[in-house]
Amino acid sequence: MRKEVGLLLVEDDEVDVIGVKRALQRLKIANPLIHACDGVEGLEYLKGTNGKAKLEPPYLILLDLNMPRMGGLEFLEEVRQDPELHKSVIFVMTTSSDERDVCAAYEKNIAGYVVKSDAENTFNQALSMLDHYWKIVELP
Amino acid sequence: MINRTSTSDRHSVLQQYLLFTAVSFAVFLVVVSSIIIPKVQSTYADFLLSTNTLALDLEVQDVKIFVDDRVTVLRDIASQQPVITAAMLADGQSLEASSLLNSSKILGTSAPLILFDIDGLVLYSTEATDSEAEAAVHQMARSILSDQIPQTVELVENSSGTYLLIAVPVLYGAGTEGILGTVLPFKVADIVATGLREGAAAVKLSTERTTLSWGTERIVDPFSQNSQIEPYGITLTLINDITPFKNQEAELIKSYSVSLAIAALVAFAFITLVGFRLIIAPFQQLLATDAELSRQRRDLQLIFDNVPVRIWYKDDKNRILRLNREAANSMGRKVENTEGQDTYDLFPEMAKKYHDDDLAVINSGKAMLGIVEEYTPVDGERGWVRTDKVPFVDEENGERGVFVVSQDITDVIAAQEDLRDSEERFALAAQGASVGIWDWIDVNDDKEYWSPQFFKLLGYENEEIEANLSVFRDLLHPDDHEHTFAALDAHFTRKEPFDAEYRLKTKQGSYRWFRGSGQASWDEEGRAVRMVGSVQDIHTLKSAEKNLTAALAEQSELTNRLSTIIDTAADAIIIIDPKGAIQTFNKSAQKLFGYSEAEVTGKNVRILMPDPDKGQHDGYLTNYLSTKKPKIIGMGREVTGRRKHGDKFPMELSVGEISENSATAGFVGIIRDISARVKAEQILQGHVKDLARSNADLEQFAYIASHDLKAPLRGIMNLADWIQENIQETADEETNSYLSLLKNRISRLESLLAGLLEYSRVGEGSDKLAKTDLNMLVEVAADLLEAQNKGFEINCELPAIVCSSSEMNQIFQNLISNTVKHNEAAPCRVEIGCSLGDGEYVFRFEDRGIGIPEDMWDKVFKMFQTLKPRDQVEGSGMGLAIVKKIVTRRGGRIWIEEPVDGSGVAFCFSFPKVEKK
Repeated sequence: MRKEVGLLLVEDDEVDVIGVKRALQRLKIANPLIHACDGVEGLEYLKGTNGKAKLEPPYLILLDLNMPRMGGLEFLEEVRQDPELHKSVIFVMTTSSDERDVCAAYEKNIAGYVVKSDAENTFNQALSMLDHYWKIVELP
Repeated sequence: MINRTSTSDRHSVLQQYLLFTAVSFAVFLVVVSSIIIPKVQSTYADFLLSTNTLALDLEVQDVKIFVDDRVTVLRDIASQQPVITAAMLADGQSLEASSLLNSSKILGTSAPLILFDIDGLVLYSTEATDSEAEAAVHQMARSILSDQIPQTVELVENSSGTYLLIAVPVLYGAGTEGILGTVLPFKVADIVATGLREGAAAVKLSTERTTLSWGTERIVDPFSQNSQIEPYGITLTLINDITPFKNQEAELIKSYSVSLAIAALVAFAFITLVGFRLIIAPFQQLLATDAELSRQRRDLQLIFDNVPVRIWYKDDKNRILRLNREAANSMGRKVENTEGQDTYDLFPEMAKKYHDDDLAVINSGKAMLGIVEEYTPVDGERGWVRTDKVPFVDEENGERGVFVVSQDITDVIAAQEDLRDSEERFALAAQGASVGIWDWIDVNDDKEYWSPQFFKLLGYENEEIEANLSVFRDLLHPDDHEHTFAALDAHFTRKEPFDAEYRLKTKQGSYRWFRGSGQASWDEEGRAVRMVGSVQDIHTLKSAEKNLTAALAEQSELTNRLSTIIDTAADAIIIIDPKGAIQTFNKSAQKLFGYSEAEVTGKNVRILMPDPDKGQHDGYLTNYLSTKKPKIIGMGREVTGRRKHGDKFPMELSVGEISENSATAGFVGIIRDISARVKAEQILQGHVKDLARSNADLEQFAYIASHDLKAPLRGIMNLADWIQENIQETADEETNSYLSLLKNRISRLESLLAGLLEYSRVGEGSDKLAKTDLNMLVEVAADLLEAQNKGFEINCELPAIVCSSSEMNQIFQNLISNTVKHNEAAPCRVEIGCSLGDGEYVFRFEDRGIGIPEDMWDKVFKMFQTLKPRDQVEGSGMGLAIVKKIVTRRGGRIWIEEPVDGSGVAFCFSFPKVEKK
């Protein structure tokens, strides 16, 4: 049986976390959700360090860009350099629609870039897309 | 040079002569030796041969006698009767015979005798003898018996000695009854002649069987001769050593040669000496004379060729026999190809005349001197010559001819012509209208000559009045009396040039101004003798001079004023000459640069400049003077000046060129100290920079603010959503409306922030300029805003221009959006046009909508400015502000005009035209 895909949400804004959670509830997606409040914590989950339970694949990462301590682009940099983690499938979901951010993120081989523009719809649509994605796409 | 050549000639003659005698001497010796030496040798050989033959004959004689004697003795024994009887009876034991034989001796030598019978058997033998010898005797006996020969002789040599064997027949009547032989010991030395014994000779005796030698060991260089001793068949060979002969011969040849050589030497020495005196010495003298002659000849040729006179001589057939270089040059020819030429070829024009003169001279035998005539060579320079022609007769062959010396006098002729011309000129001048001539023939006398013009100048007919000093004195204006005669006196005594201006009374009684000048001549004691001069009417000139003086005064006044202006000017004024030397340096300049006028006058203006202008200013000047291309003249420029004490200051310099008669006479520079202005400008620059920075900061601030504000705003929006979702069922109407209002305000804030963000980012994107089809661009923008769907009609007629398409898009989107927003209730028509004028595109965006009151026209372009409450027309109030910012950033303008049809509004904006690179 196929193992359930985990979702790592790297997001500092509490409201956005709630938004994601609400969207999961609404879409009745039961996959496990792990929340890291910045890039540093996100890496800790991925590597199982600092007392965090290591997140085993398959998983998807939903990444914000503007965060304290370690931003999304830095996080991407770290992950892509790590021999174990570099295969991770990562979606960026952020408020920045700046072209420079979009380009920089795709440089790091992200799977998609979602702009959080229209309050709640974004979350619903984005997570519905992810639901379809992991149902169809084979993950590492 | 010449002498040395002849000396060396002489030397070489002597050398050759000596060489010749030496070689002759050598040849003589070789020839004579080759004849004499073989002769000597053959003579010697003959002598040797004859001497030897003589000795041989003697020796043969001796040997023959020796043998004959023994043979005779043996025959005597054989002819004894007992011997005959014993032979006939073949009774060897006959007492008689044996005793006879036993007692017989041969010439005192006892030798064994052997008697043979007719058959060759031994009958009796006197004593035992050498067996070999006996066998030989036996053999001999047999050969007598068989060959019927009278006797035989044989030689034998063996270890016991040398023997002469003789055998003779024993005859009874004519018949042979037996043979008697003997073995006679002997030594060759015994039979060699005494002469040979002492000389260096050897002898050999040989028969067919044996050869006996004597003395051969002494021979070094043998010379042998032989002879038969008959009838015994013995060969005698005489061998002589010819070494002494050879030595003698060599000695002889040597002595001959030496004497010959000495004789020859003496003879040749004599011949050489005599030959030298008789041949060489005169020959050398001849050479020296010849060299001297050729030197003289060369000297003469040198003189002939270099004398600056044309010399040639011709025969009576008009041919040039010889000529010098000067003559040839004058004909433009070379000497070599002119000798032998006919003068008709060289001077076709004048040859006839020349020839006639030549013939006259030749025929008369008298010289023609000083003929002045034209000289017209075909190739040379034409001119005048003075020619002397002298006849000559060649004494050797009687040929007659003429010797010509010709001198170029072209200059003299020309000078004469000049003189004649100048005389003519003087005569003409004397007749000229404006100048009168006077000649004071004797300064101690009153009388003068005045030219007709002199009279005419004074208004008189020629010689109407007397021409003398007294008259002149009377005509002279009393005021001019003193200085005129003072000048005259100065000329006479101190030879100062006489040049005076004075008035003379004319016939009409009025005075006119004249200018008189003249030149005296002085005798040896320095006294003036004669004086010639001229008078010129300068009355008009004098009047003009007066006017000129007035004009000069005026100009000087002007100059004064100008210098006052220059001195009082607030700006520094400096005038330089074309080379850069300072000529004028006004008070302000002195104050500005700290130099006094005296310090800089004449100095190069460089001293007022810092580097690098200082080093280049001279170059600027020469460059301008040669090219006339102004780099600074006529235009102001900001440059740096240098004060006396070295500090630099900014100044504004304007330069003008001073021209005189269209040539550059100098430059005037006007300088203003702009230190204060520059300082102010620098401060201003600082402000501008600050402002730009603060603007940039502000934009950055706007961007960050709006960006960062968006995030929490979205959170609020989400939360409001979720609250509404959560309480939808339970909340009352009022609560719901509040929530709606809350969300509405959040949206508005979001839109305001978005507008602010967009505004701050104008110009941030790519500024790539490309040719853009604006019609297409407007169409797309309108589609995006669904303008047509909402009932708007957009007519646009726009060109394709070079612009930033993203900016144009922003402009048209905002304008269309603005129209749509305000006229949603009553959709209208929009006209968009563009015209090109004066380097810029002017766009006109006109709608037929509700329009804008005129008092609001300025306000609409401000940020967050809306004309209606946002609750009625939702808008950020940023659209037109963004449009204005784009347009002004590109150097364009934006304004509002009355619409054409009364309703609506027209937004106009301009864009400078950009050429695609």
